[in-house]
Amino acid sequence: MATEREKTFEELLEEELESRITEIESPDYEYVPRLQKRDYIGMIATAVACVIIIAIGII
Amino acid sequence: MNNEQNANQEAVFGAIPMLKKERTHGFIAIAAVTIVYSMAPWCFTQGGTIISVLGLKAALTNMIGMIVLFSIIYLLTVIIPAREGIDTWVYQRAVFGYKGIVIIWFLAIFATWGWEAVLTGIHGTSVSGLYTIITGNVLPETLLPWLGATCVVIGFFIACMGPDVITKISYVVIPGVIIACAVLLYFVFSNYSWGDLMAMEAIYPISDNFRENYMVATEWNLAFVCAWYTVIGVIPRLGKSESGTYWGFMVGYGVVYALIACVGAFGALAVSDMTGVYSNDPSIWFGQIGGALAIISMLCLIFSNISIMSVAMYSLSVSTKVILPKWSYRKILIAWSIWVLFLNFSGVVMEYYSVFLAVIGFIGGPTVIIILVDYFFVRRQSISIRDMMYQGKENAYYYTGGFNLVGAAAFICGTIAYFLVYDPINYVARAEIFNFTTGTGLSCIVAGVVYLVLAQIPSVKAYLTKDRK
Repeated sequence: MATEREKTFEELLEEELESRITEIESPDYEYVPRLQKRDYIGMIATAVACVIIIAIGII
Repeated sequence: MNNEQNANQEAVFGAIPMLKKERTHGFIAIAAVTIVYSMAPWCFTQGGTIISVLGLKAALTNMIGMIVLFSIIYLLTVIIPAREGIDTWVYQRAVFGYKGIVIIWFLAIFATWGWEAVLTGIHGTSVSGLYTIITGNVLPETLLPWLGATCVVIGFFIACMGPDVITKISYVVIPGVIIACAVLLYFVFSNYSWGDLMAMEAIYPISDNFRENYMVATEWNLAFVCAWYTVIGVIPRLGKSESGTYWGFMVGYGVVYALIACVGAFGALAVSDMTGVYSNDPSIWFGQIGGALAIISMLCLIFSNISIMSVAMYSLSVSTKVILPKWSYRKILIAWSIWVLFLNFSGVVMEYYSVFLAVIGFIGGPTVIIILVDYFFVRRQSISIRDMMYQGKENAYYYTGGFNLVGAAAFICGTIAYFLVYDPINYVARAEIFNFTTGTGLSCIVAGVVYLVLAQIPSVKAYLTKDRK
């Protein structure tokens, strides 16, 4: 049995896990802001730029 | 707190879901961390390898274009830990099952240490090269693995000291690699004009057919991106937003990663032309520079190697502790150190670098695509955190004795597709389709399609999505 000073990985994990899961499962839990439309536009623009760079290298 | 407790804390930190209020890293912080990780000397080796089969223009555009293009999709993986607050290794319990992921993890982690073996190879020749520059004498080649081993030993002791020391030492990485890049580029452009470099032919093309050389280089670059597979889930859990996390990773693991490799291409090309001898080892290039600049560059390489070795030892050992919690941190460190020493003394990774890339590619490519298909298309971004964290036969991700047979089937199909079209030992395409998709590309497509198609079968969908309850 671990002393008060040292706890095993399992004991530390158990202490933290249930409260966090309960908080995440609550209907009020707020997630971090999601990707926006501008991010998808940025991905497409980056992809187009990459294709152009690749084409320059091949021609 | 002693280091075992530190590792326990870190492993718990790695295992528990991170709440929104605990997130600490915006775009700049994420970009800074990923830039540090991406500025590793093995990028020079990658650039030096690509330039062996392509001329400079094709090599640079292939590295920048292909690495960043593939990263756009590959790095979507970071959305999962950013959103759900869990490491991708925890998420993969849904993809491969509680026990299946342990097998995948072992395969991936054993292979990932090959990057550290590349570091030991560079480290050995760097120390030897430094000795030669200072004394004018050459050390016997038989000493090189022993010199490389010092990187492992010093990295081990630093990793034993814990995260605070590692963080301070890792500040050496950025300036060290930047100095090395600046010195190398200064040397190259002091001796060659841009036109001279552009006119040079590929050093060791695989064939007379440009397309075949181009697609083999593409294969190597796609596999290079797949190297992030084992470490891609740690940092995004700290992200304050999905957008900042994603673009932070694109800057570091995409753009900077490619640019450092490009510097390697310049170095290998110029030194190969000067000496008539090709090498993808950056310490050989710096040795050509001579004088104080060479000494500074070698020292930068040496300290960067040690710093990255210690970071890798710490982070991969803590990650191991999440999978194997009953093992002590020190025992894990010792075990991984022995593995890296074996790779170092065998020399297999440096000698068969392209084969090593193949292993990284066929493991890291299909697994990440399966993860993306699973999360975005099969589960529609809805998972059970409770079933992720608590393992048991009654939980949604237990599947068949702890193995997700659908994930396993998709991974196996992807791997078979890889070896059907590409011979990584002889760098030869086995089928024409390789010249359109590469081996890694095809394995990703096959694995993703197999997983998605099987998930459309009602009984299979029910098998996969028990978390919908």
